[in-house]
Amino acid sequence: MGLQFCILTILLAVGAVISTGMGYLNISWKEILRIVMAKFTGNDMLLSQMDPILTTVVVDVRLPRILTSLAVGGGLAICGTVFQAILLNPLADPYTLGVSAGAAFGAALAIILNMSFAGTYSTTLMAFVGAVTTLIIVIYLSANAGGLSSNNLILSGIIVTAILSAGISFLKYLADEQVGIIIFWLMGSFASRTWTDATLISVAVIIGLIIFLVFARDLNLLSLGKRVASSLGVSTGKVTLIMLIVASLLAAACVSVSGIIGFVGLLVPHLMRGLTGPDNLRLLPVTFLAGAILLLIADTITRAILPHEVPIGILTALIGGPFFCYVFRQRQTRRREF
Amino acid sequence: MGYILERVSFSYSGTNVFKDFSLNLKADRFIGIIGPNGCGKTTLIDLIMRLQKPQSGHITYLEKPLSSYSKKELARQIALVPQTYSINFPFLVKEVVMMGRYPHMSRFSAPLAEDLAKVKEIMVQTGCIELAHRPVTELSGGERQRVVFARALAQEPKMLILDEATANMDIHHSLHLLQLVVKMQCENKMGVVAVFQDINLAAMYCQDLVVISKGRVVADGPTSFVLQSEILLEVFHVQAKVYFEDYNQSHQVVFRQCI
Repeated sequence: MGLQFCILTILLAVGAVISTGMGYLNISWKEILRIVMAKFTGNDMLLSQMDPILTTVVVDVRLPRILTSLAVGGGLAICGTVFQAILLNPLADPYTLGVSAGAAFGAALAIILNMSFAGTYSTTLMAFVGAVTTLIIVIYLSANAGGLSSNNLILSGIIVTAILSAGISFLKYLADEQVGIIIFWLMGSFASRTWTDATLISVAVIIGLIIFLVFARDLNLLSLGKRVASSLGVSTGKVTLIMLIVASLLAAACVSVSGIIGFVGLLVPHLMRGLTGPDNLRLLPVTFLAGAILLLIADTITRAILPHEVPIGILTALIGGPFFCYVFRQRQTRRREF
Repeated sequence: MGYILERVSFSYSGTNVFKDFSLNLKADRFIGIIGPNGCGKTTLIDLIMRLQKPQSGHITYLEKPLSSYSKKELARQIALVPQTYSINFPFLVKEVVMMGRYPHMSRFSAPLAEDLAKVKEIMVQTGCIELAHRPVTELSGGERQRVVFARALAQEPKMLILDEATANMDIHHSLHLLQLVVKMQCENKMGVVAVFQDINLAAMYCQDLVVISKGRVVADGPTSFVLQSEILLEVFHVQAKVYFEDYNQSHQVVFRQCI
């Protein structure tokens, strides 16, 4: 784990600094480091010869957005890894259980009804409520005497997603002029994220990652089948349920702050599994970093390189999709099984 | 005494598998379990591995109720080689064998030198060592079963449970692994409970045989005593002759026809 982890950490740190410098105002990396140091140590002397506008741009505009994109990218990637491990299905992603459709429905509802019970966070909160409600319904639908089977979960997720998608379409149809806002939300964006967003999502992702790491070896054993995993000391029912709930809540939190960003949760675990092997204890930290880097790049492209902001969900699919096809094809020609 | 099952009843979605089922399984013997399809062999394994709980009756293991053990304690004591095995991700063979050490390791600690040594030793003994760096998803059925077997042995169990564990292996590897189990059984005072389809293979290695039919024990005792043509006729409905074969120094069966 050592080498890959170190390389990705360095890439992430360097990438974050470069990205902070890019945009309408170009800021050199030395100035960025000085601003960050000044804010960390409280030593304002470091800022004495600098244009105060630079400090505002870096601290209040760019850093919270970049931090949010890192956390969401890492969060979606580890959720995808965990979903693939529990559902024993390489096609699973954080949205398999309908979390995204639930969040989208909640957000659309908040937008169309002009909800403002929680100020600017109303849409985010409604998205989270929608996602959690969906999760409860899906788990209720798939639970039976034998515990949660992965086929039942996937099927329930598909059914509930289908119903909610129809619901979202109906809301869009009713929406008139707000339809643009709904569509923009659905496609995901990190524009104008605040420190509150960044802090909340970072804390959620770190807690999620720790819980996943605690159960990483249990997840490895689950891939040998429930019977064998149980004979090796895993309480399979309990572990499956805890992992599903934590991963879905984390996915719900990610979707709530950023909208629906596809492909990260599907693509990154696959790519990284090719690099580190399927051992979750090694895989999870590496997917976390890779997911963070991927969304950092995508968000920087849409924010600072393209002439107009393109929704990031579109960008990840447009870049990620073909790249995934390429890697997938490469692997097909090398190996018999994926 | 290893396992004691007392008046155990178990039903599966309405159908009775066992009713007032009692059986003793000694802790240091190689015990074979034979019986026709659907007679409850796999359910018996599920019960003694605590993968299923009996609806009534008691199961004790080493003089304590089976239910009083923690899952981790059981995993250090009892290992299972299942009949069907699927491994869904391309873990390397050595990683799968290492999973047998998980019950002996704490959650985050890297494998100790002794874990690595044990895994290597088992891979050499089971003939998996040349597969060590290959993903299990690329192996043939028989090779994969060997890896699963090695994983169970790496667990260093006091009780090894084989559920038709050699069903997909070629004859060389079947004999090789069963000889290895016999050797480890003698050296480590390990108990073995093994479900067999192949009666002659069972007769070669098992010290005791238990014959189960329709959820009850038909015969139980030393192999030479249990293996009789009348019993095979009653349980399997086949005409068979049981004789002592000098060539492999064990009782063997030849079949004529089913009735």
